[in-house]
Amino acid sequence: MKKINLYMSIVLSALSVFVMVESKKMPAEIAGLGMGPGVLPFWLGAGILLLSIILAVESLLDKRSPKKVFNISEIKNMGIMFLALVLYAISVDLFGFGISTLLLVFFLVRRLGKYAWWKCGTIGVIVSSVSVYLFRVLLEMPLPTGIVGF
Amino acid sequence: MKKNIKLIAMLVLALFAATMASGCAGTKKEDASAKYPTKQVNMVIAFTAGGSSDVQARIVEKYWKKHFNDQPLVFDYKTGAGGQVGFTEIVKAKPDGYTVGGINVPHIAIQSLSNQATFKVDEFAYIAQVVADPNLLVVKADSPIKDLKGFIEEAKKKNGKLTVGIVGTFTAHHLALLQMEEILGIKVTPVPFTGAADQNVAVMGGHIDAMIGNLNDVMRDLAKFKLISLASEQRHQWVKDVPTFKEQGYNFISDIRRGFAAPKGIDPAVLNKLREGFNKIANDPAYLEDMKKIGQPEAYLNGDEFEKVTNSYLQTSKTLVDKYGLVKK
Amino acid sequence: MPSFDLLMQGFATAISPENLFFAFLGALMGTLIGVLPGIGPTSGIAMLLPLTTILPPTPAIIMLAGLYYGAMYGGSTTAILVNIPGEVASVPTAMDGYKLARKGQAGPALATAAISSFVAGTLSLVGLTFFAPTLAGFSLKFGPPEYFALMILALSVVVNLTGKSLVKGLIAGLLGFLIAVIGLDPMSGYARFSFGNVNMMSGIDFISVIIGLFAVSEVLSNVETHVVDVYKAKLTGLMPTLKDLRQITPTMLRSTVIGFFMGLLPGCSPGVTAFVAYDTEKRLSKHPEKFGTGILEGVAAPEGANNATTSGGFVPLMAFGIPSGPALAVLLGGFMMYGLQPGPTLFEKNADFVWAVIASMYIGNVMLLILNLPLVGLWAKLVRVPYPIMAPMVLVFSIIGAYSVRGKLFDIGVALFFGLIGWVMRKVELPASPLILCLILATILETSLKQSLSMSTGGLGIFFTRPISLTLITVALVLVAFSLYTRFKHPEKASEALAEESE
Repeated sequence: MKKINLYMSIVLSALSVFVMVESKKMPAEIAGLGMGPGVLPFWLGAGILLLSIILAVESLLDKRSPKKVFNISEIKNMGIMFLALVLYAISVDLFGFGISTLLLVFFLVRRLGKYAWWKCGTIGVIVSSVSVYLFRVLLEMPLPTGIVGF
Repeated sequence: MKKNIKLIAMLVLALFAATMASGCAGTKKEDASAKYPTKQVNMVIAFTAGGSSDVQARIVEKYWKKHFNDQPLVFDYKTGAGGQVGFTEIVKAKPDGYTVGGINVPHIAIQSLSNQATFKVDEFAYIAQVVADPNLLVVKADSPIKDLKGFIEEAKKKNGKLTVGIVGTFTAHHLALLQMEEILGIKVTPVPFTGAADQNVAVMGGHIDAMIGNLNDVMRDLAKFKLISLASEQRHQWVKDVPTFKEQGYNFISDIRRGFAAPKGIDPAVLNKLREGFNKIANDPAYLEDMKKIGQPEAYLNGDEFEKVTNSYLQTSKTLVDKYGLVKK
Repeated sequence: MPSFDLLMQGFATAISPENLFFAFLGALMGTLIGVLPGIGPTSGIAMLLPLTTILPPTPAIIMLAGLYYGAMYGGSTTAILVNIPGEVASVPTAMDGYKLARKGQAGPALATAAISSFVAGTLSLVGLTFFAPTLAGFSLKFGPPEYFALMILALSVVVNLTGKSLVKGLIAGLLGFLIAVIGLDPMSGYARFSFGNVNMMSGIDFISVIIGLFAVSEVLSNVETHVVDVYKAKLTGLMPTLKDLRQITPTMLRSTVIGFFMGLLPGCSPGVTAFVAYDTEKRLSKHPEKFGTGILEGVAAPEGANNATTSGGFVPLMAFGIPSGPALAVLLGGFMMYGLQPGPTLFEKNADFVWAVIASMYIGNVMLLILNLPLVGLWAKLVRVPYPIMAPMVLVFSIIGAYSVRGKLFDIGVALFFGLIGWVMRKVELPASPLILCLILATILETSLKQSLSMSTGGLGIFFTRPISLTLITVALVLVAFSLYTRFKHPEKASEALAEESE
């Protein structure tokens, strides 16, 4: 945990400095307002900076042996999953909601559960048809149709 | 048993593929303008569902099918940023006539002046104006301020500390307040709120001394308020005993207009159909009755007139914004 | 008692077959919408609003109201079963509910949620019935400085949500604030941290953030560990025992009071009161360290409070036309469409309508209890549905939920982004609840601060010269001091929690 906390405080400090610099660029005062738009973000940045310095000091003083937090295979597995979701988000607009959902559910069920492909496919068809029927048809929600039209 | 499930699953898959294929084949382009609309029309609303703009558009929806080939009007809420998100959405939409939206003036005029602007006023194809909602100067029912004269005296006595509520800064209300200060020759402290509802409460609870509000919003709690003056040319029929600023010698006119627009670049024939349809809706007695029920001051203008109104607001806003240095650098 | 007679007349209207049917329909759909993560009562009511052009006012409003309080019943289900809150107001429920489910006590947890919802919902309806006009004045006493003080009080909860590291909890809270700041400043209209992008200008919707932090990151975290069946534990009974019920009764009553009174104030959405009630119970409990490990009080408190808040919210809505949250704002639109102007005159001019709606809420609460208790068995069985099938389904519905709020693909992107962030936060042990709470509170906090400063032309004195705001701020400071004191006095409890998490 020790190392991770240290890295985290570095990342957060960088973020807070960025926030503080950006908020200084905002107008400090606007006619008729008690407080300009940049005031609160500036102090938020300052607060995060202060806390991350405390975190860094804490973790440097921490005597416990560091615990490994991230391992490569975990990150790889998560990355594949996340990539699938990103592709899904893109494909929803491009190819339509129904077909993308079908593919996503197929992929997820297969990956999480390692079932036979036809089982995954059926679940995919059911989930996507039910959600399209429920939301697009019944509730008239404008879910994207894309080029496939489903 | 297991085999059966597998068989059913395959059948479902096959059936699904078949319907999809047939579904895709059905979409073919037809002559657009003559038969418009041939499918649902999307209505972009830039404010939350249930807000004044939405409620008004819902009344339009009630009569829409009658004048537009029995096709549905589908609501699409793109809210945020004081309407800017939704207005931008209208401008950026495909100009095929299947996306229209509600616009508010002077909101679009002011927003187009900002250096963070995402659209220009001339990027809209104006269909119709449906509402002109005048601004009022309002105080609490039991406030010591009795009339406009009393208000001016009180403001001078408090030497700039009199608090007046407005909705947002750099908004229609904010400009109205600046304009009023100038015309009445007074200085007050503006207190911005995020919406009409919380502004109304702040006046009722006596947390601020007065506010600039729209007739539509003030009508909701008429008994709790004292209406000082109306910022329009003539008195309004709903509040006949409220004097205008003008008749008391102050030429302060300020209101909010609601209307509809499509993205620029729309086929003129389609735009004409939309304008005609809205004209018919706006003159339907049942529609007028509904508008009265929801408390929105109906004021129909055709597309060309609406565009002219918008441009005149653009000029006024520009003058005020330049004068008070409100454009953010 | 005139309101009693009026209520009886209301019941006479409400039990007509048509009104009963729509109350039932509203309650049923509310439960479903509550169960589906992401799709909240706000989008639910908005989607059903077009029906108001077909139906007469009484059944339509009865149905929409039923949908609103029904959603609070359903919201706890996925929170307990899969650690994905169906509703903002059920975020705290997930903290203990999910742990209970993992211990095999999904049944009692679900039943407790339903019972607590019913008790709190009904008791606050009694409050609504008899004190509506009197209580309405209460919300008028709150001006911007009082709201600011109230938000400070709510923020004091964060200290107790931080988990084992105070510093990390506070960091998470500030990050929540920072997310809320993105977009146009509600007061000045100045775009902050939006980099010229219109979508960013409209701000980050907290529903998408919650879906990301809970639903998406849940799936991302589980794929790596290949947790196929977390519910190996045997189900031990469906209903809570009498002893359990006796234990949670004080919790339910206290949460009702908290939820109802905070519900009278605009801006205090059920999400806020659920957190506050959870925190209060933790403070008052004889065994605060057990909170978060899976105890029934941890489910009863937020579920009671969120239901009490829904009833409380009808007081300012009907008496002044002030919606206390986005869902009620949409409902207000429904009122407007019928030309029913909420406000003092509503109770006079449209007494039949108002009392029929209130009466229907009593009936609706009973219906929901009857609907939900037998469902407990069904839902509890759902935990047997293998995770690999359940998770993708919940995920898809969550994504639709994120999309439905504003109809923008951008929000799906936000949900995915926060899924990744949530995964990292779990890894580095940054707690999600403080972030969510601050995100919900931030806008009102900043707005009321700016308004107060405008009113006082810059002086901070305004918060200490008005009695209500002074009291609230003092209470907040005392609570924070008290929490910090116990924290440093009993560090062993912190290490206990440490052992718990490194299981």
